[in-house]
Amino acid sequence: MASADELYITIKGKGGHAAAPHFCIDPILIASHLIVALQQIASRNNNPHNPTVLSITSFQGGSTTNVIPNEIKLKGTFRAMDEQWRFKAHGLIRKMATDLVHSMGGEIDLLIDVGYPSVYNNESLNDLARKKAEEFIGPKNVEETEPRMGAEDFGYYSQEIPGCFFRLGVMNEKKGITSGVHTPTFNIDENAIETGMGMMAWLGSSVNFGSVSI
Amino acid sequence: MLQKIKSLAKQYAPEFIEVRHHLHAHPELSYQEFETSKFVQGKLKEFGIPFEIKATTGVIGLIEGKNPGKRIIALRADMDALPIKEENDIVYKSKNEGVMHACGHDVHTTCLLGASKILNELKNEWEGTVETDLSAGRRKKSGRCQPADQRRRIGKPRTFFDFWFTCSSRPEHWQNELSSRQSNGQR
Repeated sequence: MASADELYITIKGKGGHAAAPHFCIDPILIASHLIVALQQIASRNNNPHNPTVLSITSFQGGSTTNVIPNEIKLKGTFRAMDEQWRFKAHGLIRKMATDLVHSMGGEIDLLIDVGYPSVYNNESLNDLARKKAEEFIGPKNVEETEPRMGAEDFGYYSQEIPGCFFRLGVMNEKKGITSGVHTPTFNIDENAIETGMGMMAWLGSSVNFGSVSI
Repeated sequence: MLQKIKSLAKQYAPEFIEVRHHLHAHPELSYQEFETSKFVQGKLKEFGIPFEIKATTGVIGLIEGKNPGKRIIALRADMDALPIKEENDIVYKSKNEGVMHACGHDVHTTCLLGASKILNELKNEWEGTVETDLSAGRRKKSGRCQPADQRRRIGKPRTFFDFWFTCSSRPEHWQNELSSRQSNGQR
């Protein structure tokens, strides 16, 4: 899972009559340029093999058809799976946002609120835990997944102490248990509890470090 | 050992399904897990597992097997719920209006309590120490977790395990995120 940092950007221009843009500094057009330009960082500066996401998720300002507002507020999220790239990207975001907004006559306040680091599954532990899971529930019930750009505070633990983060299946289509997490109808197939508690006990009692480097 | 754990997990599953129903019906938001914290402390007392409190509501249990210093493993779960109004029509529906265990932390906490009971019962049959980390809230900015300072007596665990939920898979399924390996973390 990814690191998650929040972006808060205020672009200050100079409001006025929409029919006279030459007397204004239009923060809406500047913000629009910036939203497009920021994707340059995700698609050109980043190595394509390295998962990263930059999403602007909120664009607020203005209220009517004939007035250019004074300012626009943007919010967004920046996700990464590599801590070095993550902080390099923060610098690129700051530079691009500042230079672009200034070049168009605007002013900018930018806050990158640093959140959870990425969850790093230690490779040796991952292999070992997979083997333990196969012993516990059989190889056909253990699968590897694609990386997901969600975030998880276990990232703090896994950056400090070698860790391994798993997922436990809880869905059952036949019983109609299909709602995702964070929905008002989320529920689980309670057979998962036996698997979850047993697997944690199995890991806790049987994992030895003799054969792994962590 | 594997068979013993499997058989205890099967035997205790109904008890822990009840535990989950209790937790599900009484969800609390991040850093407000006061009743949840009391409840899990009560369970650890019932099982005879010593624990300490961290970050007001976090509860760290310590289960020593044979030769406790041989290796230390931590198992972690979180306990907080989300500000969502539950729409499930179930007998153990949230009694705390507008708060819901919609991220499954009730199940997470339940599984760790269940594992604690099993590990404690079998503690003469495995080596090392297991720390069970029921952590305080996670969605706020400050003090989300302090993984390092909790191990005065026996030192720091050498590894952590944790899990989450996947709604794309059957209940007996266990997934690991292979590609997290590619994430160039610090180790």
